[in-house]
Amino acid sequence: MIEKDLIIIGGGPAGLKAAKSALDSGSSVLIIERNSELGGQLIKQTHKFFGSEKQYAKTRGFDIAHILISELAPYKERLEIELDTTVVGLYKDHVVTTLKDDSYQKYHAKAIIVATGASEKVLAFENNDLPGIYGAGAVQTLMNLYRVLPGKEVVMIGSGNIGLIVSYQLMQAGVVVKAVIEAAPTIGGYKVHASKLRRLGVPILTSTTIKKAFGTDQLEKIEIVSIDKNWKEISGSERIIFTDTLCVSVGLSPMHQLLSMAEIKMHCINELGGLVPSISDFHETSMEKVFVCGDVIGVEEASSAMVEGALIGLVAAERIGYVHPKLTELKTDYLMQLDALRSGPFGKKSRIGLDRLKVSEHA
Amino acid sequence: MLNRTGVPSKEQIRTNFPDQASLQKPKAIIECFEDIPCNPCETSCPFKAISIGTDINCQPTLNSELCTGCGICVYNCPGLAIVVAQIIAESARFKIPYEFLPVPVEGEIWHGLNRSGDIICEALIVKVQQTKKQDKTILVTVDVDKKHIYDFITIRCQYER
Amino acid sequence: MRVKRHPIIEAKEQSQIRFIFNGNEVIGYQGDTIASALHALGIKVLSRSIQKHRARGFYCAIGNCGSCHMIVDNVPNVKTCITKLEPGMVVSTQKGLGKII
Repeated sequence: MIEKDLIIIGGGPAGLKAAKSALDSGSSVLIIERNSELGGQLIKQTHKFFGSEKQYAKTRGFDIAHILISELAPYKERLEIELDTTVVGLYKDHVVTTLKDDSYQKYHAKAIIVATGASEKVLAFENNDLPGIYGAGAVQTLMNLYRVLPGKEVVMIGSGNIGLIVSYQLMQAGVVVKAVIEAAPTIGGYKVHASKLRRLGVPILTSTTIKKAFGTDQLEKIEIVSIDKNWKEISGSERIIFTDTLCVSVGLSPMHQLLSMAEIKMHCINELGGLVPSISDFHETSMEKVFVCGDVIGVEEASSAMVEGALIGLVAAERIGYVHPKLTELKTDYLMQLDALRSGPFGKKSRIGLDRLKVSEHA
Repeated sequence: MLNRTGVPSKEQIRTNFPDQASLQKPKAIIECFEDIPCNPCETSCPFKAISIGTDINCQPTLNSELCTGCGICVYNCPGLAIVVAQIIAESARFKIPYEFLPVPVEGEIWHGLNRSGDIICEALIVKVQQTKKQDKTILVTVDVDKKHIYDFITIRCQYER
Repeated sequence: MRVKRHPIIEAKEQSQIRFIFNGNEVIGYQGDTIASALHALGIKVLSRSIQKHRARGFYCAIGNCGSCHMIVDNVPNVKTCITKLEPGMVVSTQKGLGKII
């Protein structure tokens, strides 16, 4: 058993910012990351981010990852990083077990921050298991990290920010996006993203959904259908689109598995993406000194994940006796930043979700 | 309509254009119609011509008098929602953001597109600016016939390269 | 099919890696995962489902969904979307449940 002050599970934007805050507070930190590099989903984001300067607005996602990683460079003595290491167990007695290659390790920590992020949802339709049908993030990984084209042409399901951004990135990589399909009557993501696509001649079809995919061993074509305002298919409106690649971008679900394993109290809150832990005001779960930050406590943008991480890193460190000299000032600043990011119309879903989580806790 | 199609209406487009007299000098045209938490246009403008304020969800407003049409906001906007427009004789001269290959070359004639991606005119490539601080968002100066001033928005290559 | 040129991402020199897929020698590149190397070669079917032998490819590409399992160097259920390609790897389509013992 190896004893640690603070273990952070997940080296994405939330985990990296949490590490910096905890290190600034005087704690030592172990980051455990299952991927071979830090940065989470930032490493494949080629677009410039929104938000304010504090959240690195107008900086490309992969550059933000480099910045967050380099911010940790001065802390070599108190910071340990385990890459290619998957946390396979989280236990009630603050034990964390890991697997790297074929080797298991057991750790015991005074405090733990779970920053495991979220994973792509699936959409149910006939033949949705055909090769050629991928999550939108998967297509991003393939073309931006491995520089492999997902296919010759693509249809994108989902017009949230991920669907719109990945469609634009596909066009940049030289792949034709034949259409973006959206079941709702309006486009889900930022209209500036949608406008960028429309300029390129990419049709966005709202009130439309996929009915069926066709192909022998691989996708060859899809059938789409219009839906009315009661979400019912309009018979006779079916049409075929030939394509070898279909991207499914219908939202993300928090990766809650370790929390559920430790029998931490959970609630299902749709607005936050699915199963999330019940939390105190500063994100402590029902297990003492186990905290959460980032998409695992509600799917939002990376800008929110970074600020949450920065805040929760301070709080977790304080709980184990490491108090940042500017604790109050920083906490106020981070809370204000989160408020600013969530106060507009695009933050409504998160606000509703977090309120419902509070209410569920007291019910 | 913007919410359904991603294309702003003619009225929405016109609200961001100053009168034609003011366009004798280049001016930024900001097409940001939603309250998105974002303010790089404000913070990057060296002339303080764009304001958003403390609530970064507010849409930007442009002070036309202060705007010199330098184009810095054009390549700083993460949504690529800003262009610069100017009327010079019978042409409308635009500075647009561009993030594709091939890179345009000065003197070439490219397709001029409207906001729905339709080819509406020819576009003469006047200048191509790529500096490190633009971080790979190219600033292309383009001339089109001035009758397309409210319709033109971007370019497409018509060469095989 | 590889991305030949990109307006944002810098090109990188990558050395070739030879490996075996279903008995045939094929080529991937340094930095590839097994799944990305196969995809670049046009190979999208990575396994067959247990009962109905339906074709399976990857879905999430970051190790979450388990759709990309293949037999690698005689070990089944290898998540090929997050396993880095190495020279001489022997990769085969996994048909149904992998035999662990």
